[in-house]
Amino acid sequence: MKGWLYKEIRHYRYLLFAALLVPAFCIWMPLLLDFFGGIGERSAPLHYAFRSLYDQSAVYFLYLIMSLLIIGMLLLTVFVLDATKKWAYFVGTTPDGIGAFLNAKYLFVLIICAAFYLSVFWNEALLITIGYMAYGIELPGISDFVLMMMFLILLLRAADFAAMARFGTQTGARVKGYCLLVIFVVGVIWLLFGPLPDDFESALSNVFEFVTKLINGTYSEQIGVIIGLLPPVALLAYYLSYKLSCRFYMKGVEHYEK
Amino acid sequence: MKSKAQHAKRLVIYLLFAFGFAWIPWILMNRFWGYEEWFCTSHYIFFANLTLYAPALANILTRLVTKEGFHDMKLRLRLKGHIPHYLTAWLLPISCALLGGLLVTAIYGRNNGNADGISGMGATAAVLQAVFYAPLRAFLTLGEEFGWRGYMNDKMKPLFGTAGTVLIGGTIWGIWHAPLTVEGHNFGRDYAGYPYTGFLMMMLYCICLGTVLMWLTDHTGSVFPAAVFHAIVNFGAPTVFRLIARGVPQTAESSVLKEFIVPELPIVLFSILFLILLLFRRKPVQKPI
Repeated sequence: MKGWLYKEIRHYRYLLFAALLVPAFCIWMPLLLDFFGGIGERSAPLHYAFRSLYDQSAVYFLYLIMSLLIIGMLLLTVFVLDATKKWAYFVGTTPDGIGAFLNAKYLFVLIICAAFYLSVFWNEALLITIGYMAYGIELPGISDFVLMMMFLILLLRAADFAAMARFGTQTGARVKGYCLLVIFVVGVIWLLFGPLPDDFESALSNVFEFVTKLINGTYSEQIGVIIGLLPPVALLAYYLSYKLSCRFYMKGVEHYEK
Repeated sequence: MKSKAQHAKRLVIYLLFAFGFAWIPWILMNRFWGYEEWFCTSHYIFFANLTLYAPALANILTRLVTKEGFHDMKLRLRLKGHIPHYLTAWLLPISCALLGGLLVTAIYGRNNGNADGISGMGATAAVLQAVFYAPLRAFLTLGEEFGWRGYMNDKMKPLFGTAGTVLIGGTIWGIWHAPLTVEGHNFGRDYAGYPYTGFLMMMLYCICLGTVLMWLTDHTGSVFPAAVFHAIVNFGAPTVFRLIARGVPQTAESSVLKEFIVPELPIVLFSILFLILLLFRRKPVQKPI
């Protein structure tokens, strides 16, 4: 088990670096863009940059959501690179077997998620402190929102990993692609013929308002219960996904092209 | 076998580091920014969180200075065979908060009205979030546990025995919080004998918590269950307590008794139980080679 985990860390070390650096990049980038954009226009560009970050916190959130999307997609690669028949048969012959191999993979994904969250937490803490110390600006905290989103990503990846194990990485990705296509088509049909609100702009602003409430923690009680239940549900789904993957891994191997 | 003098020397060095790295920034921050500003708001959150790692830094530096090496760091999760210990770390503080809330309500009575306007759904959401998100904050309490339970206790046990470690270790841990206690941390400032009774209360509280934390660390050989317990005590249990005891009428009666002593009675009782378990723990029998 330790060996498998070491192999994962060695093999996918770029993922660990990404988990640490992507949030740092996404947290500091809006500030740096404003800072360099502000030179020459203002007498105190860094102050202007912080003020701008505070005033347009939507941009700040968008960057963070972008970092979540990036890490969510990168997590999928943990399964893709080992998807060869020879490797899978070799894994099946090891004393620890498929269980330990998959266990290390699932554990590694959790380590990546933890590294990502820690990076968000400390970078955000530094940004908030600098913002207040230097300019008296109170930036909003978003690490709680990120934590919530990490569990949502874990829930989605639980489904992805089980599908990848059962149908092979390529077929699994295809199955997921078809599902997304169906959702997309249904969405388009609804947008074309469905009962759309009369005022589309206000509907869109409602969506933004909902996301803002989610970030600020001012959501409704029902949403609060769902958020509270997210960690146990996501972890349970992740565990079930691991069990299913162990069971169907060798069947999935038959779908590998190489 | 290490001599007692060697343990004592390492302990003193560790304590100098642990107190120095925490007290100097705390006193400076209290002086220049004010406790309410740096501890109770998120304005200086980076520094506030960083100082929590002072015992961890002291652990590492003491090992370096004394050339002790980095063996037996207790930094492995040790989940195998220790799930009940992790569950204890997770559920015990919540249970104690629940019992404490019920106790306060039973003693001081309850308003019929829903004064704070929290509905059942709102309370459920708050409890769920406290129960499931608080353990994830263990990375913030890991620094303290890595220092106090991971290093200090190990150095104290050969010198003072188990009971002595519980008492002296808890007292030292309580004194370590003094720059915060003097500014109103946990008990406020409006109580008889301020701040000395506050120091005393903090020491007693730390002795009680320290007993459970020591039991968890000794049984698992890891500081992680202790960090989880500590995280729930700090970030989860207060929410549960406030929800249970929210109907208790706000009167002018001594707030420390109502808001601290009575609610903490369950943890005091549990700490006595854990002390007995620690004292009568059977030493693992070494198999002959």
